Amino acid sequence: VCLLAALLRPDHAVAANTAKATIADAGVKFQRGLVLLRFRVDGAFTPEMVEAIQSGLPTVFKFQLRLFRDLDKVPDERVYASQLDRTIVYDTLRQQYDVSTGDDHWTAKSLDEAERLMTRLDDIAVALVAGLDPESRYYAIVKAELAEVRLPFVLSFLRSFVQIWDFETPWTRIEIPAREAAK
Amino acid sequence: MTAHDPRPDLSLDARRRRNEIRIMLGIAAALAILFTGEYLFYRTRGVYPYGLNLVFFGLINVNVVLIITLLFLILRNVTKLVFEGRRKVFGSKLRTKLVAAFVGFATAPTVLFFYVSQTFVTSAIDRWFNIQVEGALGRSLEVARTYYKSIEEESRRTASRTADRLTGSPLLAPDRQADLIAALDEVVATEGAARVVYKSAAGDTVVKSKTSHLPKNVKSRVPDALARKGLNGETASDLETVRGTELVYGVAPVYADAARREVAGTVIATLLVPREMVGKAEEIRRSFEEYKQLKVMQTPIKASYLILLVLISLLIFFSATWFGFYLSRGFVRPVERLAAATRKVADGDLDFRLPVESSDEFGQLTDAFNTMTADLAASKEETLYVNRELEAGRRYRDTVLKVIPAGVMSLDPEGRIVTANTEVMRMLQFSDPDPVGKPFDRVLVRHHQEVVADLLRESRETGAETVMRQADVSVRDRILSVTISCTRLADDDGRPIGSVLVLDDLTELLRAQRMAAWQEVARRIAHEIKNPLTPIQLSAQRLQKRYADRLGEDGEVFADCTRMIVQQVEEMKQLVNEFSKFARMAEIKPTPNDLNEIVGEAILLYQEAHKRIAFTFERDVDLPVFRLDRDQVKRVLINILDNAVAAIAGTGQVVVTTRLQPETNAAILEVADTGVGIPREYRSRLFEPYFSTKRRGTGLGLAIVNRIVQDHNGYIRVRDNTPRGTIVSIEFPLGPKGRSRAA
Repeated sequence: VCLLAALLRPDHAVAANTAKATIADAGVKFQRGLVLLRFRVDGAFTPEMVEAIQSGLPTVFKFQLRLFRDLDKVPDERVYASQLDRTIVYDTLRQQYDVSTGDDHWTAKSLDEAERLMTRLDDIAVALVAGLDPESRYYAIVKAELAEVRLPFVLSFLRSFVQIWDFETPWTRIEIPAREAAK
Repeated sequence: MTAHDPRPDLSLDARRRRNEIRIMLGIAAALAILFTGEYLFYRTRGVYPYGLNLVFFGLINVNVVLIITLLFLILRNVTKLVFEGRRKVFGSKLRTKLVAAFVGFATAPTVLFFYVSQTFVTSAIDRWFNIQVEGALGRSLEVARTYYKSIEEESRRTASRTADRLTGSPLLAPDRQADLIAALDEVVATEGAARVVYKSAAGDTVVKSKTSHLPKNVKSRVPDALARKGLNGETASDLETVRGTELVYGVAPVYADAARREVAGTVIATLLVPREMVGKAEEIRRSFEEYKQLKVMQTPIKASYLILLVLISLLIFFSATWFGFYLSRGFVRPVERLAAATRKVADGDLDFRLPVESSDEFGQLTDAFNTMTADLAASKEETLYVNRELEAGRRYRDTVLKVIPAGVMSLDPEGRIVTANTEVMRMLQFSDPDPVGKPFDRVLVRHHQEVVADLLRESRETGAETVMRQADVSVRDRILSVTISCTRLADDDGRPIGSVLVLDDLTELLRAQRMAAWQEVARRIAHEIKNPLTPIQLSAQRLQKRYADRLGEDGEVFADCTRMIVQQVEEMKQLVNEFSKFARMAEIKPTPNDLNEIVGEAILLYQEAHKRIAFTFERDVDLPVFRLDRDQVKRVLINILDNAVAAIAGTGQVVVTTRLQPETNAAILEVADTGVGIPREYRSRLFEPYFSTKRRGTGLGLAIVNRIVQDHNGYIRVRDNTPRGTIVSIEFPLGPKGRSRAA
């Protein structure tokens, strides 16, 4: 029974490669009447993940953003929430990385460039400056995680057993100086 | 035949069905939980091809649920087996052995299967990822890449050659566009390009060549980034896939003069990758990527196969174990039922039958058991019948032996008693109330032992079938005259099987004969003597009257003689009267009487008449009224009291006792005196007529007493009193009425 339980453990087949990914260089700026966030994910690209990506496996990063109004005695009010996906696919023939969001598409010839495209988010609008109450405190939390590694059909059953190169950053808080934005 | 009660089986079946329903519901619930869990788990993990894996998940779930179910069944059965083993339930040992055998037989092939499969899978997977395969695929991809590089190079060269031709060329003049197009068309025609475009330094497309090689649905556009590179004086190339068509762009700067100081524009040459080459290159790429992905997933693949192997192995192992339980139950249950049935039959229920539930060997065994039980029942019935007959015969024989007045005793060849009826035990005074099986010399007194041993010896020595002897045996205070016949017994083959002794008590017969003889004598004496007595007496009285006065002095003598004659004749008359009475003793007429009352009346007479003797009457107030001839019993008592008084010289004591003796259902009357007693040698003749120890006794008193007691079916015995005197003891049977009253 113990053997069975051990074998059925989801992360048994591949050693836990959960990267110790973190959010870095997080910040906010106000431009064109928008509240724009920026941050970077460090430590997401482990050697195993790079190997998987370079084997042609489409890999998706998921970024979650939440904007809250800080309240004292009641739970904080969620003002905004969104999720962004970035997908990277390596073309082994042409030796280039295709990074795409829902709307945009980039091609990178080098891994560094591809990594930067995947892990760097700049000028992500989360609110209108005008929509913020200058007298309130606001903050945003962001998190990045591996959404999916699309296995080929013949290997998709391995999903039952493995949790591949997972990473998940902790929620990182970014203070929004609403009063400053109003100026 | 009593059919096997099906109710317990029905309830058992119902319980089993209920359990099966519970197990099925449990399996369904487990499947639902697993599916839901997996669905929720994967839903949280994003988009994935869940539906495609449904069959696989289903199989895994079914496997897991089956294993858990089997595990539950096995644990339940093992626990049950352990407890049954501890309680020493019938069949548990056999079940344990069978299950152990199945587990043992299942383990070896399962382990072997697992080992071989695991080795095979591991080596097969390792073979997939050997270096040669990877190298070949890598080299193929490298070829494809080289091809693409070469075609990019070609596009750049085409662009460069064209740019070189146009550098400083008058064709760049605005009024020579037609010539420029012709020149570009020539390039297309001679260089094999799909299209050649010239852009001016301002970035505007000035002219385009024909697009003869491009598919109709594909329009070659100039990538702005690439065009900018050309205008910046770089030579570059790029790839673009448009509607499944691979386009290769090469750019090169066109200078205004040969000195190449000023970029006048740029040439963009578009080459088309042949469709077949695209397909092949894509195929190579896909193969390589799949291989690389498989290699990346090597460990998970191995693990997944191992998990599957483990699941299948466990399934085989648990199935075999459960099958062992199932089969052992199939073996043991009929045996259990058969054993239970055997116990029932052993307990005497020969009507019990087992239902034949199958036609296999167990069915045949059950059928044979039922046949055997039926035969046993028939045999038992027959035996019971024979036993009943034998028992009836034995009872009849015992009854006969009990009621016959003769004593019967049979001995085996070793002298052990086989049968002995009540009469022989009474006659020979057995010391053991249960003499059967014991040697006769251990239960008989010495005198009787000698009598029996002599008889057996005589029978053995003479070889006669029957020998007979008359002997006197003393029973308590009586001497019995018996004839003992000893008959040798032999079986059908003539082998001796023992002897049978028959004792006939002739005492009463002899006594009756003597009594009859004496009565006849008495009658004749009375008849012969009584007749001349009266004339003698009258003659003597006449002689006295006539001659007493005449004889003078002799007259006194004469008177004395005649008086003597008259007196003696009178006495003789009395004697004769006694004889007559004895000879004419009337039949007794028993009526319900109180013995205490009769005794009290008799004692009262003697108390008045004999003041020197102390008469004591110790009566038993519980003595019932029973049938007695009042006058005759009073006569008996008077006779005995007469003897007692006569035996006491001077003062003395007479104690009369009545007593109920429940064990023999008799009333006991005892008269104990403190007289001179009776010598032992006289006792056997005490009750014979004309035997008297008194000087003037007729010898008829006790004979009459004995007669009256016998007429009442009673016994009279005489024994010594302590310290002196005699006790006469009379036993009157109470009969049925007396018994009921006494009770």
